[in-house]
Amino acid sequence: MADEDAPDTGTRSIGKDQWVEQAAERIDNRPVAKLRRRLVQTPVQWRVLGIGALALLFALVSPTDYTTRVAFTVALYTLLATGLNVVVGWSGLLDLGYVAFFGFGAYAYALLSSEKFGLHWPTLVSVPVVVLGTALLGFLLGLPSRRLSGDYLAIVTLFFGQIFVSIVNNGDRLQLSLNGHNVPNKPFNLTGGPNGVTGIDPLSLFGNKVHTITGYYVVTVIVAVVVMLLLYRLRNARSGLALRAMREDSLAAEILSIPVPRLRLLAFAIGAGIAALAGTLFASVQLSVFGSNFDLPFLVLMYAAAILGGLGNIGGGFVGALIVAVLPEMLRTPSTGRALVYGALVVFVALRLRPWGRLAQYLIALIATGVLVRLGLAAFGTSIRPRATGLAGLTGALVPHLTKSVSFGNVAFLTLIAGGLGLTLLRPKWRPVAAGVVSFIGMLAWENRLAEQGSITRQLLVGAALVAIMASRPQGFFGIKRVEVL
Amino acid sequence: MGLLDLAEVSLGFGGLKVMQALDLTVNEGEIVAVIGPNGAGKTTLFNLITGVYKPDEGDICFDGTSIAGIDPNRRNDLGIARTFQNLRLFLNMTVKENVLATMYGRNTSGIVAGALGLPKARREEKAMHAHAEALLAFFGTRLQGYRWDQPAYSLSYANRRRLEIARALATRPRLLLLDEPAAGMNPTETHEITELIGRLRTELGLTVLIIEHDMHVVEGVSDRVVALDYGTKIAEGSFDHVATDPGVIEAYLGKGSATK
Repeated sequence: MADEDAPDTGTRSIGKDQWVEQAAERIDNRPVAKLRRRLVQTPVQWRVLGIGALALLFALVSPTDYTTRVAFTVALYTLLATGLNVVVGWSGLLDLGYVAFFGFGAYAYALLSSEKFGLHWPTLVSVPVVVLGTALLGFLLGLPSRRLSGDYLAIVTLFFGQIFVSIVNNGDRLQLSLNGHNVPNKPFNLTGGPNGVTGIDPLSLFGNKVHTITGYYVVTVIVAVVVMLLLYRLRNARSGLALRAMREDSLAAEILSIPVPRLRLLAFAIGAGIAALAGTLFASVQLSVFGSNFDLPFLVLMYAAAILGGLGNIGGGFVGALIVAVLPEMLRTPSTGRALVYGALVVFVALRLRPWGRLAQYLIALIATGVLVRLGLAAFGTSIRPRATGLAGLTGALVPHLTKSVSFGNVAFLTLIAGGLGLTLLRPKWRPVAAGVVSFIGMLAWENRLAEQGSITRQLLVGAALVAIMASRPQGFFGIKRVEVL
Repeated sequence: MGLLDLAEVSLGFGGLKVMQALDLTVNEGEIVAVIGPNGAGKTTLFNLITGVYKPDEGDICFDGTSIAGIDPNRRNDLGIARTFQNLRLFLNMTVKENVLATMYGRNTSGIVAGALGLPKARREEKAMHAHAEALLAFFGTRLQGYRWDQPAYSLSYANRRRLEIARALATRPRLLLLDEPAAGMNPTETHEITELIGRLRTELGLTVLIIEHDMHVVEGVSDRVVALDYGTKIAEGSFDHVATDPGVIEAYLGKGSATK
């Protein structure tokens, strides 16, 4: 910003700042930097709408119901992660009861619109009622804990999350014993206990019942986009600014006019409302709800999505949801799993091993290990069976494939873990060489053991991928690195 | 009766008496400096006025009404704002957002209006932005231009102190409490701050209560100086009067120093 842009400071002698005056000269004008700037300067609203439009297009080109269902999961998780973002990302409240609000929304919708009590409230009535009711519940939960923060709040909300599951699982025989009289006479079945609530009405919008997964996908994408746009507006409005200030320094915020306890309740209520909205979609697409849908692992998954995407960022929820929903599905079949594993390896090598000398060291170590392993196996008289065609053939030519020998795969897997840990302890100088050796052992373990055990490998690889992502980008994909003290 | 009146205010942490029957009056339009050695209770005084601590005894009145029992944010609504000695900016928000955030109490649009972007909220936000820009312009070019959109943690120490003042001003206070505004600044910047404090009164009509260790600043700005030690007032009056007071010299330099 040049001098003439600065407001006229008149005759005041103070406040001249050379660094600010020369800001324009420091701007990078190379084409890549320009393109990057233009992308960053595109209003967030347009970016959200663009991604939403692409997501809707996917509904048209989605090859099977299965892919649409995965896409629906992504959209639902996006909605949930976005709501969690308000509570954790903006307001800094560690809310471990978040999934209970999701569950409460799902159950409330299930009770209002299902065969259970014969109530068939129309969607456009029951959904707003459920959302507002759950927001009120969030508000009430916040009341006793409005002065708690950090770990203490986490304990209270975790308890709430657990008690919700307990109540739902035991809510099929509610009865009070008062002075020897049972009230009511027969145990009252509210939640269906472990059998859950079934026969839930599908969504019905403007006279059209939504029956297909594609329909639910479209509805969820639209809901998610609208929620994101509203939240982005709110983020920079009076209340959003105050919520974020509260996270940064609640004492300073409170002294400078921000009513912190009240805003905590507000953050809880907003998060609960969004979770409940997702809950109604979940219940209506599943046509049934069970207590086990809302347990602790699901909470962890939502936190993973929100943190991976980058806390505090509106688009982050989408990226995080994409990772936690799609990655496990892609690893379900061995062939896509193989493409993913080798692809990730190539990307990692291309990104991290620079300059060329280091890459050469890596490749030489990789090939040398391969030759040594093959020679060693040949010396022991073990037969080597290359795989047939394509990518599999290519890797088979390089990596010995011994499906019959399970113990060989186990040894390779254990060596891989030891090697991976050892890699972090080495001096940087030796890392390319060691990484080459470890990569080969990794391929060996993959081809001989992991690819055969799809269901277990899936979990392992998702875990490993999350560790790798968080280690290389702790603030998440779209997060901005937070600075606590300087 | 001044703008701010403290009457017999006492505060203890367990057995430790950090404030003992302090009387203090700050009149409208005055600039009063609070000095004293480390641990004298200067920042505690600010914490009592802003509501971080509630006094054990005594009363604090602002503009004639008692504020001793009300919450910090309500006190700000009445017109008391402060800066912090150890800098408590919203570090991961931008410079402009820091100033916008504390305008919360002076505006009214709620979450629904904010999320939907209703005309009322938009009008209010436009005024907030204009006000923030005007406040940041108060510091010359130091908090201008591209710095608006930079995170607060990227600012230099002196600029963070300036932003603290801008953020406090955003609440439209009548009484501004400045906790060591010149700490960590070089002589030129200290001079700037001295000038700036004068402008706070002449241009914005503020009453200022300031804690400062730099005696050039104290001499340059204050109408009146109050010296504290061990939570009690040991001297009060003009700078020259307080600077030569034997009790004050003793508090700073130890017993026997005053007689030499």
